[in-house]
Amino acid sequence: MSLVSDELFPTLVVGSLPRPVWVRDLIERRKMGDVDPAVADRTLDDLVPAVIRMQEAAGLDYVSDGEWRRESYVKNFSDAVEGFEVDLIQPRAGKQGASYPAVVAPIRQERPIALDEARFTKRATSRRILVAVPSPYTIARRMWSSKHSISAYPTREAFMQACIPIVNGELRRLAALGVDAIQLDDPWLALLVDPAYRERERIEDVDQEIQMSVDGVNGAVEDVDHPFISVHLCHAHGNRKHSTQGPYDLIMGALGQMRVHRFAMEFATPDAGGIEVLSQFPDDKMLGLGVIDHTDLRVETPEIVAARAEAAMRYIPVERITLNPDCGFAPSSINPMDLDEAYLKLRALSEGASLLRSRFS
Amino acid sequence: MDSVYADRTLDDVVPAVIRMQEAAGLDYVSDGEWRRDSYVNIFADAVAGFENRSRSSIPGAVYPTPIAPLRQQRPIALHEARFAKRVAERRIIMAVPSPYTVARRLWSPEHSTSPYPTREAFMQACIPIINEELKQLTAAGVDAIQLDDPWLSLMTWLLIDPEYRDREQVIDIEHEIEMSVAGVNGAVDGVGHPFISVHLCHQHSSLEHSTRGPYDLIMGALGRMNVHRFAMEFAKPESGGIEILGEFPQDKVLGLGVIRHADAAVETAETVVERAEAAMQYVPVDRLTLNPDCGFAPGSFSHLDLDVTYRKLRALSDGAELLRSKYA
Repeated sequence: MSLVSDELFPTLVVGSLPRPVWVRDLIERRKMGDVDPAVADRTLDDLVPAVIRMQEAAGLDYVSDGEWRRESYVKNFSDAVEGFEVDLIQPRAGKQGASYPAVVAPIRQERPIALDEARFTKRATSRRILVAVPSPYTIARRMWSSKHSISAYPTREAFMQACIPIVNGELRRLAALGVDAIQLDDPWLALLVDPAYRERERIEDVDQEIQMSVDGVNGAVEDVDHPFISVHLCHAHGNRKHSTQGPYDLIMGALGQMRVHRFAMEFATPDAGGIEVLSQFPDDKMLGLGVIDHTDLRVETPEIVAARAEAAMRYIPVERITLNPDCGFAPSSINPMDLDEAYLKLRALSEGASLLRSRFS
Repeated sequence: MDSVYADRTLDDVVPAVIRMQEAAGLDYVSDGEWRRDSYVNIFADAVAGFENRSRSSIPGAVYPTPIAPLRQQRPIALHEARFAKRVAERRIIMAVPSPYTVARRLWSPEHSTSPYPTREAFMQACIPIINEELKQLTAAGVDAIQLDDPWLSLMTWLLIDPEYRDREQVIDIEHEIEMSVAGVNGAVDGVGHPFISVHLCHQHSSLEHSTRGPYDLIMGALGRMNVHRFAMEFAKPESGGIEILGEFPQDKVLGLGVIRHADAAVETAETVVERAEAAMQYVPVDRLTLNPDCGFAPGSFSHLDLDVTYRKLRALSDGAELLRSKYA
């Protein structure tokens, strides 16, 4: 425990936080080439300290840069790596949402994915920092398409294998820099639990998909000398709606096979299907318990946070519980979420943790 | 909280709101006054002699009020100004409350008569402090200096609402207007800055205006103030119509309010253009500047949304672009 916190119930963000509208505009204009990336970077250097101070003011133990510089939690991979073409993968017919790049040529890394952000964040705060990178499986599911990618990589698996050394190299650099908590975002593993989703995505062999996710994570963390690596699992969200729903039963067995220290999972939302599944949570991992429902406009009270943690304590020993919101508040910069609301929710999270410490320390 | 820590935190936060205004496309930007508890309390924050007291005229709130002779402890806005000037890539505007508004807002008959027997006596004590501040802002190279004097424009409301007039103990409105003029002229005496504004408004909080009514009563006073520009509310219906600009002094620049800060509906650039063109019937185009009706949150607790503010400022600069392409 002392490794990650001096106290029980350490509090962490999942990573992303809402951008003000004008920052969303800036990211969009950078993408469209209407603003010089160097100018956008300098502007963001002036902004990011504000969102770091916000998290400190909210009282969090681990803070991030709000991922304000990223267009999305997963596109930061294609932004740093050559071989992609933007906006080829469109939302499903009749659905709103972001477009994604597809891999169209053999990939080659051009610059670090998250190292510059991490260095900036570390310099800007005296708190512990958390930096997230997309997992190989999620990258492969999100940005490989049978329509556009087969000439570059005949299968999704082949593409994922090409991503692994790049993600692995990034984690090594983040570890060497002294990032306090490293996180692999693997929402696409959790999406598999929803039968409607599996049907939609024509997933026939779900075990093979789960195995891909495990291999992706284990490949990414191989020989990364770091004591606190998390995997984040969620049902994805846009405009306050989850993309999928259902309990985690199908994937619980996989968690024990992943060579990481912690899983940050959604439990505050009813869409995650109840806390009982924690009886299957591996004995040697830490739980990042989602105690804030980012899709719910109502701000949680510290008492609600404490009650959610106490429900998890029936299954997980207290020293293996960490607290976080269910998910990042805006994994995609265009996600219309409110920064003031996020602040109030993060403050409820820290105050809930204080309440729990006074009860159980 | 340690005030040095708060200052350091704000140093990390204020650049964000400056960049926001630059992204919105404004020519003159501020620090959003994010460091201030309020546009007027900033005076009491920098000057010794005040204490937070409740007043019978404002139930349920405490305000700083003079209880001892004033003694300035630190600059009012100079630190903010230096910081904003260092960070901003645009021209900067800095506002300081006018002596009249400080006197009306902070002096109280219940608590203040022993150091200052009258409101006038207190205002006279404020004038040299504000005057010195404006000189320092000038020396610091601030591009636009502004005196906030909402309490002058409240005069019209005093005429309309006798209850308000009684509560504020205003006996002679002409005398009040003269106090405001004397306060402004004392504050700018010998300052030697080429672009000093006075801002007039009907006050607001939580999207409600405190007062309303046209500016008739005070228009005559504007010509007697030794400043260059008046930033006034005209976008919102509460300010009465634009016809009053027929009485606007011919040697002053107009700061035309073209954005309703107390209305969440975001203006289009075309609306901004229409509002400016309406004013052009009365004021020549080379004496027209554009601004929102008022600051978006003169009290830090005001419930106005920063994203809405950005969109409104964006509409303001887009409207100015349209006007330039039409008239430049």
